[in-house]
Amino acid sequence: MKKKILSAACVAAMGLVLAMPAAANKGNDISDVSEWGDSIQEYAEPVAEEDAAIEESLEPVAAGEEIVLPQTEIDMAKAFYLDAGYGEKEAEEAALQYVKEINVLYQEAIANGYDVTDQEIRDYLEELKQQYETAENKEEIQAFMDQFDSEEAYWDFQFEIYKKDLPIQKYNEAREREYVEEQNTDGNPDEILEIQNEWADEFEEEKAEAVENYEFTVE
Amino acid sequence: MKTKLKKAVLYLLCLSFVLSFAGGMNAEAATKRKEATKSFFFTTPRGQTAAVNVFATITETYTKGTTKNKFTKRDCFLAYSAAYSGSKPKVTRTAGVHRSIKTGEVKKNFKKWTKGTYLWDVAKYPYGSGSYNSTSVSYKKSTDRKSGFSYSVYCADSLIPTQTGSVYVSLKTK
Repeated sequence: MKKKILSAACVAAMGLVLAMPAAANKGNDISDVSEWGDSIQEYAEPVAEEDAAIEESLEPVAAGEEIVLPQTEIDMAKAFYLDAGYGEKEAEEAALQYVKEINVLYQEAIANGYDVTDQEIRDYLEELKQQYETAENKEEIQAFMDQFDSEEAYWDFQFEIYKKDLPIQKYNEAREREYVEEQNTDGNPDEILEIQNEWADEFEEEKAEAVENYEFTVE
Repeated sequence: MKTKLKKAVLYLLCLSFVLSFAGGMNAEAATKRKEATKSFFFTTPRGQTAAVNVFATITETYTKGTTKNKFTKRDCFLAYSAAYSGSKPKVTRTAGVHRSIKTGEVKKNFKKWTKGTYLWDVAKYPYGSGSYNSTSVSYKKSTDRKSGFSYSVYCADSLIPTQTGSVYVSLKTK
């Protein structure tokens, strides 16, 4: 019976995922990715040249201190949501929430010991370069990358972005592993896909809750 | 002595009969297998990418016949790794089916699936899952059918949030 329910839930979830438009999707295609890549250019250079507020936001905050939300990050995210088809106000709200979540995740990652060295970022980007070559949606990545002055400019930008993102990725990976181990109590490996998808929902909830525990300042 | 010899001859005759009968049936079990590794990237609101690497396999077990093959088991397995910061990508897969290679039309759905046990490179793909079905179906050796399944990778907060992939193996043996 449990198997039947799980199978039915799986089929329903699959149908839902295929039918459901994403929060950010209004039937976008590769031309929208190009457009957004173009929109981001005015921020790409300052980011690659170590934007002061972004640099400050990389510093760990002490208890009771405000988390710095870099205006550049908010503007970039707003450009993303606008290109995704959001209205001005919705794009602004979504961008602010997104940047809050990313910066809270970063602070929690650092507080839990998931910091990274420049060499680790460089190694990760080298892996990405290779993976892009064989990606199924290579054209999409290329459309975004093509908006940069050069491939080098794209990777310089990514280097700065991943100073924040790589610790978050490591932190997320550890939390996900912990969640799966806790939930997969009967050791059945085949329930893992379902559990991981449950984690995706749990992750969204925890992220939103964590934001409530901090104060922010936009710089 | 004569009796012993008779018995031995009889035994050898029986054995050769059984062996030749088995040969005539050509009841040799074999498998057809396909594995596919695919990477998907999602550009997200600060210009970074969420990465998903999917490893999928389909294995069909069959018994060779003279003109037809009897497919007795199909085993679908999928594992993936995901690197993400803001949004966790979701991977979901459909149940295995048999399709026409020419038209892509589903020719056979299978209802009863049993969760399986698998060995894979967990360092590369931390989590995976699979299941198998043991319904028997027979097709001509020159069949147009293929066996496999499709999957989707979904990442919220991406301009193109859904990507799809699949793994199929041809059931043709001639």
